[in-house]
Amino acid sequence: MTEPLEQRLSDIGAHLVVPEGASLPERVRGRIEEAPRRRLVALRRPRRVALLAAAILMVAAGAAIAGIAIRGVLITVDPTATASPRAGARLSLGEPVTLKRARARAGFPILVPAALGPPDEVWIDERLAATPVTLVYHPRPRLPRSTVSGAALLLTQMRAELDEAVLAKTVGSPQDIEQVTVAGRPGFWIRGEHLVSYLARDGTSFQDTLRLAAGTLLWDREGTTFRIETAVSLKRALEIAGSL
Amino acid sequence: MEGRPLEDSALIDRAKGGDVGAYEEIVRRYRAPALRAATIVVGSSDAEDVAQEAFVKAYRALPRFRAGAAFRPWLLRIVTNEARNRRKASGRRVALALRAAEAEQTGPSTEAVVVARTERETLLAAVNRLADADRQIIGYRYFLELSEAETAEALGIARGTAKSRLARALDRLRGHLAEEADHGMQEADR
Repeated sequence: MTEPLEQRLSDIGAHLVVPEGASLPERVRGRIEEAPRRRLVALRRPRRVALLAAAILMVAAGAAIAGIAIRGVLITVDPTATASPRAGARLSLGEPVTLKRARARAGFPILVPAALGPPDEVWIDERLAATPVTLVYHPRPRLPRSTVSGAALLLTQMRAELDEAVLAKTVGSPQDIEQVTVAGRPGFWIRGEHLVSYLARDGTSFQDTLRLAAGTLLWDREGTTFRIETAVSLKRALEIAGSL
Repeated sequence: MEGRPLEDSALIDRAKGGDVGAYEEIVRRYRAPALRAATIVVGSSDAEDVAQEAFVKAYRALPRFRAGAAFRPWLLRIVTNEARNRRKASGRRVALALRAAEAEQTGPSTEAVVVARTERETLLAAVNRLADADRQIIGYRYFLELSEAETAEALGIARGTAKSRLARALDRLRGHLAEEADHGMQEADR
């Protein structure tokens, strides 16, 4: 008790439990990069009709170049597409909700694959006209963690038709795309990491970070486009898709 | 970022211009005081959440940050507001804690280490008994080692107010310590 109180207080400072915040810079960056997009959509809603038309034109033009298109999803080949070093830090899936809430808000049926059961997380992105709903599955037996996303499997379902066209995908090389049949419907299996760019309802497009390690399965059914992003094999992905 | 690390002011300029990477570096540089301030106000378990929110808000407020002003107290002001709001919402008691005993590198005797730790624990327990405002001003001044002026700015009060409030908080802390010492002596007498 010999030292002055002030000095003893300063000494305590160095011994306090204070979180280190190792991932804080990255998380803050993620939040900042995600936020303006939301505002963009909200602010420009009045111009929606004109911009929607622009969006349709852009997608139609893109589809003509690419030659491959599923409703609302267009696949183009971009040789400059490279893996982002920051992939996985920010999935930018919208906002977390319960499955029940997602179903109420999406306005279209949200299916859960019987092969996997209930998801670990559900996200909805109302910034986009297609209102993608993403079911997130954490690692478990036969479902390894993706080194890119940190999750094991993402299943996105969106109301994507050409007149609400929303999504464009950019793939590194043509060999990365394989045409497949998913539960009797034509679909695509895209290998490797790729960039995803979205076309929002205001006609602006923005790119998303990569989030898969092995492949993406894309197909559509009854006006809904399905996308599975995962580290598992095509065979296993088809199995999961078939159980929807 | 390559070559020589950029000055804070250069990073802030870049961040103002929309360079999120530059802002990420600012967060890296200032996360320690931000987390410490948040811990003092809300406790360690909510501190990271508070700091994250505060950094996001600070980014949006950057256009209002005056070039050449000190960034740290400005940022800490935002952290303090965020933390106080969280504190109001949670209503939980905040108890600052000491890290688990660490191996002391220079070798005072084990006994000396134990005595030092016991003294720190007693003092921190007394700090934890203080009202929020007293704990905050003492924490900012001594645990964060802010100057009186910085403490005032971070807490959003006038410098003179900070000075008198700190003096009163220290008086009350001495009061708690004296009570505990009395209590300890009564225990020893039994």
